[in-house]
Amino acid sequence: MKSSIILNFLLPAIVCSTLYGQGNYEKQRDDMVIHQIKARGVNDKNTLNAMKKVPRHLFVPAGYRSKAYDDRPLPIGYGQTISQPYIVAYMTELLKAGAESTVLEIGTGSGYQAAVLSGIAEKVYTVEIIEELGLAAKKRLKTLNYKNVEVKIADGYDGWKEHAPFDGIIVTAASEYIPPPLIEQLKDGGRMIIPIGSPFNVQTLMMVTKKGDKISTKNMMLVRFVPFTRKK
Amino acid sequence: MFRTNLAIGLISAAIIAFQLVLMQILSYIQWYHFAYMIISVALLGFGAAGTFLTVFRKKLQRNYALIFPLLLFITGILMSIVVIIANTETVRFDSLLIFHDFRYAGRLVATYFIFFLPFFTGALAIGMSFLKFAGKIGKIYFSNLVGSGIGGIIALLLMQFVLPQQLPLIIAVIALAGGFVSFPKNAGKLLQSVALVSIVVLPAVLFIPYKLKPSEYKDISKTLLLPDATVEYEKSSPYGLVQVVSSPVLRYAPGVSLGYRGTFSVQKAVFNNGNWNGFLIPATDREETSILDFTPQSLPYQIAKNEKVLILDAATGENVALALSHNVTEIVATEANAAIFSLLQHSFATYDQVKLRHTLSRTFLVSDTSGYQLIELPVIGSFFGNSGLNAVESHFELSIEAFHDMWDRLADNGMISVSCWMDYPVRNAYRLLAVIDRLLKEKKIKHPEKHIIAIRSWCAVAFFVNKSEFSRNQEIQAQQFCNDMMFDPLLMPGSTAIDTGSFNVLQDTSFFRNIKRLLSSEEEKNAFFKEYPYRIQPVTDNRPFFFQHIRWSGIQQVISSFRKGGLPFLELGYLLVLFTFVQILFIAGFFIIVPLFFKRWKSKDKFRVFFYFSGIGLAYMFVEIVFIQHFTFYFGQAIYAAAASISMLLIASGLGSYYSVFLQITKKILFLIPIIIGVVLLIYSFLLPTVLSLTIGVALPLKIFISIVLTGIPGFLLGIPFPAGIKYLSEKRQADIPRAWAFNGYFSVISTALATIIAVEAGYVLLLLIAGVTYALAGLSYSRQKN
Repeated sequence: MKSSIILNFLLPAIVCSTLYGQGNYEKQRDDMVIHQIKARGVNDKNTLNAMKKVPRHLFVPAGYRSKAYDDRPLPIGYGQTISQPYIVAYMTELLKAGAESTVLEIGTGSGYQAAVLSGIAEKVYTVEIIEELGLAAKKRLKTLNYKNVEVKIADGYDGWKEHAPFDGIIVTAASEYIPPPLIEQLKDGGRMIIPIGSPFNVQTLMMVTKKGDKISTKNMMLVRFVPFTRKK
Repeated sequence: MFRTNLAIGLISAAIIAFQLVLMQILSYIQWYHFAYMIISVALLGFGAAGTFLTVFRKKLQRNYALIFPLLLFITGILMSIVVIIANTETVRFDSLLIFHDFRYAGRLVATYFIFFLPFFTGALAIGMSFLKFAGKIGKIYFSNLVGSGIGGIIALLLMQFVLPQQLPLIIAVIALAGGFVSFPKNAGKLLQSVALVSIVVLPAVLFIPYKLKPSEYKDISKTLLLPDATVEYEKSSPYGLVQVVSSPVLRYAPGVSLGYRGTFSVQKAVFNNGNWNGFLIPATDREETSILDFTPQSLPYQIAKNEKVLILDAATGENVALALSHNVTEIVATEANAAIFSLLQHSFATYDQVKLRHTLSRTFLVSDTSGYQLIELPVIGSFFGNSGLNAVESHFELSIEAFHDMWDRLADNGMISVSCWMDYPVRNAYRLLAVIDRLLKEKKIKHPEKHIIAIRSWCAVAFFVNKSEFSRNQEIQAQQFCNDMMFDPLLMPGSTAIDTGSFNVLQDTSFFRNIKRLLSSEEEKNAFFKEYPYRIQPVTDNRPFFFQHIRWSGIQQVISSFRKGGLPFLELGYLLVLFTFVQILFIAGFFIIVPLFFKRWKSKDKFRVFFYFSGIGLAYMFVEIVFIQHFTFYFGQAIYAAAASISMLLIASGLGSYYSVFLQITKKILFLIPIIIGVVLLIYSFLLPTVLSLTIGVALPLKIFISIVLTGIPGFLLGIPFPAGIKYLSEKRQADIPRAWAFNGYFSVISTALATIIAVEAGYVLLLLIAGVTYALAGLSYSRQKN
């Protein structure tokens, strides 16, 4: 009797709600891309497609799933956050990675940024210093079948020498210095993107470019501050 | 009566000490803003106790002998366990997550309530005694105030030797001692049982293994997540808990040039109250600080010969190490935090050329008479641009007067070096330039542009102000330095043009336009000050809030940005004070004022009682806050000065209260005393800063004497109005006393946050003036025979 109830009523209900849930997340993802990302000027097709595909809700703690597609960063534990969707998209666009690019990410966190990059670049290497976070991200990326992403638990300061040079490097944890090994592991003409700001307070992005011996930076102001203009 | 007075003294000491300890604990596990929360919680306890007394006056009075010691035992038990409860997984809140997860707001409220309990029970015991012995209120209030003063001193002494998590238990013992002192001979079973429970609970708490857990977003929490991170050293002090952490991946290179290709040595990090404070400079690096030569701060050593250098707020000594590596013959360094200072001493003990001074930088500048080739301030703000966290902290070292003092301490060819991390939107760099520009104008420098060099790195802006004009040669050397280090010149003495740079490009070029506006005509500059969404005008000693940039008109924008999930730390400090004020206004109103309406108040003197007791409640805290600021500056020791001025004020008030016993209290007295206080405060608001700055250089014993006199006079007077008012009511209409106490409590509650808001918006001088006027108005309520 019990099994028939499960088979006839509960199971279909669970399947339906799961399917509905997925559909709902897809809709939220589409909205996120249109209203949060495209509307703010991110137009790179590869980036937009990747952002549409990656199920962000699976990269946030279960308690925050309903807020996964909100226009905000979210806590993932260990004093770390998953960046606001727009920041992820903007950083990805700035990196200008292509289908043949090799990209290094410093600070895997939840693995979301690596997942987005995996849809664009040929190979993504990502390094996380906090073991618990790194292992969780590794498992998550494997479960979700991101085959071109490799995760290493190590000190990001050293980069990943064995796979250098990189076409692009994304540093997702703000630091008071830019490690020289990372600059060395950047290809000539390559780009490094670094956010400057505290966990919930990403304020600006720094783009570091390498041309021969000359290293230059470009400070990219974020749209977040546009409304902060006083009326005269 | 003696035993009651002693018990009142003990519970008052315990309450104040517990308040200071909770402030210390919350500064460690969260951020220092919660100090305001604790002051408010404590005062709310007093206000709510007043209301409770109003409602249950008769029952409480009837059973005073039993309830009074009972409350003291309960307070002791609560003091020993509330921190443990608030530290549990289910209750512990994280202030950063409040903006992201509503559950944490609930936890904050729960914490608020848990901390409120011991203050409520302790205050109820005191309030009952005020009512019971209303005719002898002067002596009771004396015990209350003197006990509070001594409690402050006890807390500071304990903080010096005991770790924060162990402090509540020790303070609980003081409260329990009060219970035993007042234990009646005919104690009932209930009282005996509670006393027994307290004897069991306190030793049991000693064996509960708990460690305070700071927010996961605090610097120390993140650092402890690094591989093999360990806390190697811990030292408690009234300035906070200093911890030294080591990890094989901790490196030090603050804003180093992108041209640096060497290695970064692994070092130990120093934290104060869980916040990043610096690195311990390894012995091998003290004379060969090649990394620091790759930062903008090393420019003065590249373009000038510096023999005598003053390093202000040296922290763990990176700038001292930089000076040592350049063979400076005399290095004077100041540091106010005692625990950090001892680390500094340890690092540089073997260097004869290094002279360390344990004082606030500003106090040192005022009393020193030397001439320096270089005066260096630490890098301002923080790398993350969250300087708004310090919004309501006084920074006398960054006021226009401080820059005048620095200028006066410079040798003829001397230079001031001051840098800041780039923050977005830009605030610190603009404000620094505005201060420098004002300094040069006020010093009547003919060609100010020839006295300034400014350079930009990828993350910081550094300003160098020379007493004489920079030479052409120095300019060329500075250009060369920038080129080698991949820095960009921003302002160069030979040119009035603003360099937009080639190494570190800004997408938003308004920065350069704004720098130009800051250096243009007064009209243009003032127009820019008005138009810019943040306050960036130079700060003064009267309003020394360098990191408070928020405008009233901008608050709505900041709040709306919270909803989008960003910027919680940007300008959070001031916003939290405003938030606390509004919250306290409502919560205290709900707990203190609203219940009063449920009991009919039949009195001829309603308005008189309200205005008198609320006025003196409001103004006392205003005076206290102004005194803390002035004496901090005077003694150069923030925490000790705060404690000493609070304790001196309380003890002097206690004496005033004791004196009131001998006064024949009439309406005339209730009218006159507050008016006299008003006049004294009026005089103080104009004379106190002058007297203190004129005597700042005198010997310490004389300084202490001056401060006792200056605090004692108003303190003594401030102690009279409350007991005098209560005594008057006890003779005329005793039923009004609990209400009077509740009004007094409510306005004391809101006065803490309100005093800070007034100081930020209008300055300390006006705050003291407002206190004087408030006292005068309170006195005026008894000026006529009828309402």
